[in-house]
Amino acid sequence: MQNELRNSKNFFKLIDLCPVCIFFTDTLGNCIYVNWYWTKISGMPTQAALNKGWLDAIYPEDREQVFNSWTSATQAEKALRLKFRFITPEKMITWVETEAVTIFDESKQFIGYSGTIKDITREYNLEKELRSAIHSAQTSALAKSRFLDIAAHELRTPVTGFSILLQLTQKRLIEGRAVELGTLNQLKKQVDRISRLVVDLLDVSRLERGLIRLKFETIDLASLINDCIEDTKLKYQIREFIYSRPNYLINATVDKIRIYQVVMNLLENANKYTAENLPVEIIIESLNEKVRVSVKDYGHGITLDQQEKLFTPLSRGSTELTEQSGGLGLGLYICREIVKLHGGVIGVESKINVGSTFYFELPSGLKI
Amino acid sequence: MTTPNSKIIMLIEDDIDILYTLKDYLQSEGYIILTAQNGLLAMELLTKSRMPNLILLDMKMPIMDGWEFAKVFLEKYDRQAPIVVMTAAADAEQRAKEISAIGWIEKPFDLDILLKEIKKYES
Repeated sequence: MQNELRNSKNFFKLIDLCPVCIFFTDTLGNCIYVNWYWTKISGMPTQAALNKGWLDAIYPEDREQVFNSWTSATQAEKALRLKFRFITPEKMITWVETEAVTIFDESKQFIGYSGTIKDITREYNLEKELRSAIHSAQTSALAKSRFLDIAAHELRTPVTGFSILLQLTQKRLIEGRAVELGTLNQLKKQVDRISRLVVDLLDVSRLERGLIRLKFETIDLASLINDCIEDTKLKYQIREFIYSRPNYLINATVDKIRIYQVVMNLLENANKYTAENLPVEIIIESLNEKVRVSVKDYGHGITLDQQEKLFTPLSRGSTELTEQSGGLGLGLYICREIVKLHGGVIGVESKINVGSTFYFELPSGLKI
Repeated sequence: MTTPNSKIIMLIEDDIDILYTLKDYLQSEGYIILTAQNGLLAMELLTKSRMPNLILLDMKMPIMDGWEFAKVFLEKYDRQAPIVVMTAAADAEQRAKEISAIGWIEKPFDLDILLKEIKKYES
């Protein structure tokens, strides 16, 4: 066969110019010809590729499998289709697909293989990207459905509280008993719990869809914080609040309703996780072109591991204390998104058994 | 409303509002009510009270949840009191099976249906 091949020089010149790798082997799979394109993709000159030399052009991890497949195919005189990688001396890797078919002479005697090798790196990478996109879509769908499950679960508790209290009140009215103010207050408490959960859910949905538009105005941030503290004091009358602020106005261009929401959330958390007899401190300070608001508590502190997850949805720390506090764990995520929309940053510094300081920084001064 | 023949129900539920409203209601229906806000407190209470005729058990609770309570209870007291699961989970029946409970009730529920379930299972 080798002689026959060498006799058709012109034909081989044409084969050399084909934009696909072409090779011939003998019956044992020893290479007797590779075209120019093969040498280009493998990075191996023709002479080196002959006999079993071509195996050295194969990516080391794939070599054994290719060798074994070739050996089995040649022993059975069967065609072969295989995917593997070439690696050039310059370490360039190419994913290829080879297809080799058996060839026979006029007397139907098996004389070897002819084959092509196609560069499939682009297809391979596309397939890999597609697989990874499918995987992340599935993960995200799963996370969403898990989130819905938790949201439904969290809503059911106050709905149950509301429902049984209401049913009990109905029964008492039927018995001719009066409705007490305390019962109505309890009912209001359940509705408030439901409202807070629903408002958080709506906020997250709108933030994720980019539907929250800020209404910027330039205000004295120190006085807005003061309002937040006064409103919190109404709810937590025993708690001591320590407010440190400079003597001058701290101008910032913000959406005051949203920043009020952030500060109230941080204050609410500080109250939730700090014993009643300990103070909560609020500090506002002017830094270079920035204003920083910190809420410091004397709670249990948060581990580094938990700190990293705090600002992502559904990631409230998992200590017994936090489990008791209920809720969806969306508050800090909402705060982070609001602060981000203001071009600011939010963060936490915390030490176990000492306490935590949640802070956010906003660009200061007149921006509009 | 309770008499020496009144049956005892143990309520194990971490949500205080639900716990006390149910206590109020079931007392007015003539039951003696034992309350605990988690499984551990319930186990403690069991050492110093009469065995209840029925246990109404919430599943998601701090310190000792419903799964852990059911395990410890069955180990120590076998089936001396039937357990009915009260859960906000989507699959209440599954929860009941997980802990070999006799019945289940899905939150939120109707007080009349709760009473019917209690009467069905009280020993």
